[in-house]
Amino acid sequence: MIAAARMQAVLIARSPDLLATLAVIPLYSLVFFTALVHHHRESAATTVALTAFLMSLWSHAVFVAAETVDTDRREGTLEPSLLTPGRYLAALAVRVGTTTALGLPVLAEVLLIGRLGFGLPVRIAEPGLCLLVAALTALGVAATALLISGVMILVRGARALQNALTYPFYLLAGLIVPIGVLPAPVRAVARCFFLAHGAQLLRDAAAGTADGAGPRVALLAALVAVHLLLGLLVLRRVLASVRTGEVALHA
Amino acid sequence: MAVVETDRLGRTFTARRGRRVTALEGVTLTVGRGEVLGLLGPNGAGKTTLSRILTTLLLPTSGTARVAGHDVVRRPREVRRRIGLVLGGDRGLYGRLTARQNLSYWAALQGLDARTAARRTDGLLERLGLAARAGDRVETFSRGMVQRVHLARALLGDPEVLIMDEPTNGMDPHSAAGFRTLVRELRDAGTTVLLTTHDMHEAQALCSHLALIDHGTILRQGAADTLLAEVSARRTVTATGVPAGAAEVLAGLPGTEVERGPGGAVTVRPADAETLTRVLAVLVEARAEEISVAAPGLTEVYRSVIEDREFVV
Ligand SMILES: Nc1ncnc2c1ncn2[C@@H]1O[C@H](COP(=O)(O)OP(=O)(O)OP(=O)(O)O)[C@@H](O)[C@H]1O
Ligand SMILES: [Mg+2]
Repeated sequence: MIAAARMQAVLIARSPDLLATLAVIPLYSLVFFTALVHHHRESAATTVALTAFLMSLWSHAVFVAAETVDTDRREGTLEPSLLTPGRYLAALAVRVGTTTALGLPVLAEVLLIGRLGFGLPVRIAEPGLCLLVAALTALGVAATALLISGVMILVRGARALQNALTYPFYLLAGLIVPIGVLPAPVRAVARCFFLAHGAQLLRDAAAGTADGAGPRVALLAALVAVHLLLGLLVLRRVLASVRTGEVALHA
Repeated sequence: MAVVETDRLGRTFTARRGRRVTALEGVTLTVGRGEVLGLLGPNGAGKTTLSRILTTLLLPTSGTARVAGHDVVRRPREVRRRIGLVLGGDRGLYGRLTARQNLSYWAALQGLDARTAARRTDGLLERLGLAARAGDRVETFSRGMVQRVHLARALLGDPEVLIMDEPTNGMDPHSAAGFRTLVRELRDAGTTVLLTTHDMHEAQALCSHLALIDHGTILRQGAADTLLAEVSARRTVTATGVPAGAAEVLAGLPGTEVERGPGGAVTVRPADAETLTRVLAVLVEARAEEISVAAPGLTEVYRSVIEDREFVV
């Protein structure tokens, strides 16, 4: 499926709107860093940088990567694609993954903005582990994008819900306040949410306090795998339901 | 041997507020190997619905269909492997990719290995006259060129059956002629073709068989010559410089349709051979010019089978 990745890369390179999201979102880190400096909380700089990174990764997936199938429908490419549903599904996974992977460089971007732009003490104690966790988290985010893209085809007006898919999930992932302060039922849900695990592991790896990270990485990988499977299954169901004629092939 | 075979095929849709729409009903059809079946009918007749069912993109709600020997409901994979689909219109390709990039992607989707994909892509770009523009983005192509890329995509998998839904929609006369040549070549090579079109001349030029469809049912089907022979009574007489008086006389002949145009031009469709003789006599006597009689074409077949829809504005 190199063909699918290559094709998506060309599509992205020729669609400035797709790249714009990535250029704009790190600007939030400017807001965060400015607030940080103003309140003399420089010690939280690394956490804030990681938060900005995860938020941009997530919103990129929700607003850009999740559009892949709907764009195919609008362009009329969905119909011929469904003549090879199995490979189309695989191609979609690769294409959504490729788009999401574009969010990874944002990590370096926000770290550099913090260090060079604001002179903040951002530092990554374990870069290797950080990169691994970031990649796994990105995979989970791509799985989310697959899931959302399926739902967007199935449910009319799902687009209106797209906005609601950001802040509640930031909260659930412990990106806004620590998970510990959330109500107990919400905390239980957060414990099954890969992004919450990824975020915590990323912070610990950056701070150098992630001793014995093996089982935690394994748990993260398992959660991501389940999520990916769920995303693929839902999307497969959605694509199959197009055949019954209940879902329009054209938008 | 039948390559496409449907038996009392039907499809209903549930539209808004639970209203049911019957798009197809009791469609029984056979297309033999190497035949070119023209599917003709007005807008909303059910042509696209039939094409979608035959290409496994839509499930029927009643009846059965077999394509290339496999049931479209139970063995969709087998069917998909043996068909090519050409959709009309300028959508359906990635506009931001070049023609070659599009074809490479679609070849990968069809599971062709890289070498075969490259070979077929090059061959088709050449054959369809796209080689010079292969590296240009499809969004910069004219409609006819986009249609040729559509056709190239459909041919990537070397299909046994080619199903085309208004493929020449928007092609200029040269492109359309090139398209017809290609379809004839494919037919001669044994490809079975199902062609939906609103262009009667195209259908007459290409189709060995015809099916006329309206309101989801097939009204008439058979070999093109047979259908044409059936309506042979109605010929079309045209002439210019016909005085008003003579035109009045023509309009008064029983069962005769008369259309009048500028410069005393008239188009007359006499009901039978006897009336035809009288029409010609009237025209000669009135010293009309450029009198000509045309044998009935597919347009006449179409008009005699499909009821006229008044334009509702
Ligand atoms: N997904 C759908 N939901 C509801 N009704 C549908 C759907 N698809 C088609 N129809 C209806 O089925 C009927 C047949 O449509 P179809 O597209 O097959 O016609 P067509 O012969 O291809 O027309 P055209 O010449 O305009 O392309 C129409 O009344 C159409 O409104
Ligand atoms: Mg149609």
